Amino acid sequence: MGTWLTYAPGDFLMFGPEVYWRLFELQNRALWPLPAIVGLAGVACLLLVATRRPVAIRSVLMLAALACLGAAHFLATRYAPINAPMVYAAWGFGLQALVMTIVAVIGSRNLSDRDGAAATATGWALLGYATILHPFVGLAFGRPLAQAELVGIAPDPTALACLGVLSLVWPGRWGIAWSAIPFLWCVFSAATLRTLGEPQGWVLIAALLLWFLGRSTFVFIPRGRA
Amino acid sequence: MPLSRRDLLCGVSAATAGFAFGRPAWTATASPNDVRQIPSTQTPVPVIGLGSWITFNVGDDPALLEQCADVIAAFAEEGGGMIDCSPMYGSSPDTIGYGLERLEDPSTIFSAEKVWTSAPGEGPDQIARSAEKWGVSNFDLLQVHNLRAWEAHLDHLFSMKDAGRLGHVGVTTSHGRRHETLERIMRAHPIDVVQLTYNAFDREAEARLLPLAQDRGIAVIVNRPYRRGALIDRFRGAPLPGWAPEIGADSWAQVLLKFAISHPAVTTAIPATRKVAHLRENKAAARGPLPNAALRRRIADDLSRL
Repeated sequence: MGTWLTYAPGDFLMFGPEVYWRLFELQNRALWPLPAIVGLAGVACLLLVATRRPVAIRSVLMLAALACLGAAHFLATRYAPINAPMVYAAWGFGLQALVMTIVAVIGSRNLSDRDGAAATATGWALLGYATILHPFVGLAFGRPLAQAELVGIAPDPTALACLGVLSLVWPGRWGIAWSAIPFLWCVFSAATLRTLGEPQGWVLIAALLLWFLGRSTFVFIPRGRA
Repeated sequence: MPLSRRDLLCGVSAATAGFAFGRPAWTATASPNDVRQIPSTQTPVPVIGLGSWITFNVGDDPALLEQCADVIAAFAEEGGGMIDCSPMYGSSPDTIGYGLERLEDPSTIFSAEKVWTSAPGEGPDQIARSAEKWGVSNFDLLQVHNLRAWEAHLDHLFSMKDAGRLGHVGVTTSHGRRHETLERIMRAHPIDVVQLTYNAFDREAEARLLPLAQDRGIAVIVNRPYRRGALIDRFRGAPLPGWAPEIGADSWAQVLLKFAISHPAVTTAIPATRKVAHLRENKAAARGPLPNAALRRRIADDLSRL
């Protein structure tokens, strides 16, 4: 036990930033033109959610399930060769695909419900960021667009999109339970990025704080005040 | 005709040097600073080796694989020496295999792998998989990584060595961890090699382990000579000290490396890099003068104040 306490987070890091970011470039190149299609699909999802129709919401949830499978594929085929435990993360995203499917099947709430206004705003913000802004955030940190992280291909935006969709459709405590896997992934990924010295880790941390605030407002403040 | 000690040692050397790739070519061309010997077998090993932690874990990225292969090619061109790896290092063993396959003459490479599993029964399979990834039939050196299940693994490694399937046996630690256990193993077991962290800032090994290695005839591999690059970052941009020309150091990397390899107990240091220029800079650190004991003390004092 004493020996373990002497380890720093960096001691568990097995790769450098260049190798990590190039994983996305290789995946985007291998799957082209899928990255362009999923980018457009992300925008379509926002429009579908905006209609507030139950069938549209269910469609978005099913697309989110597909996106989780895409992220699992990335984790198993790209990330795991340089970081073996990512095989378990791939299974986690596979499980999240099942969760999103279950949520799509057993129903969703009316998006006009005022009780969940904060969670709804958070959901819109996270979903919008994950689908529209996140693919371009690397440009701000000096990385090429070829390394863009897209929902349905890369795990970070996929996890954020899941948190956003679940905040929109299920703002209560069960919604938090359904969000456990993407939340834990984002915590892990933020820690990895910060250990790599990558400022993008702060973006993930900010997104998690936003999610937490939106969720806690609904869960802990008496109904009608959120 | 009875064999002299010299004849015997030369015979042992021929049998063990370049175990994986055949007879090495260092002895004819290298300067005394370039090459040291593993005391137990008199096997010559260039003092600057090549680590692979993090740098060679590049997955199947074709561009980065080429970069690593270029580094290995430059390493061989600069005289070769020990390439150190572990099953823990992700795709690094595959990367090394990729680089070695491209070498016309891998005989200057001293292959150093590790066994890294808490289940002793898995050790032989893991070693076999590592050999397959490297593209070798036997390793020059196998080490018990971070002393994990070391008793059982050592038994297996010694049996491999006795059977002629392994050149040398070693144990490793890093970051200054578990030095008491390491000392106990060095005293109680006939290991050929010990690997530990040693640099101008991590000098705990100077007190007991390095003198013990000299006493027991155990070769010392130095890992983390730059603390994974942190020491180079620390001095980046700072002017070189006035004594740097005395030891022929052109950069902070060379200052740090010359300090590590100038300890008389040290056999080889294994800085890792994915850049050919850095590899050549590391190799150049072995050429020219090294600091004597007095200057080593001054270097350590000066660096701690910077």
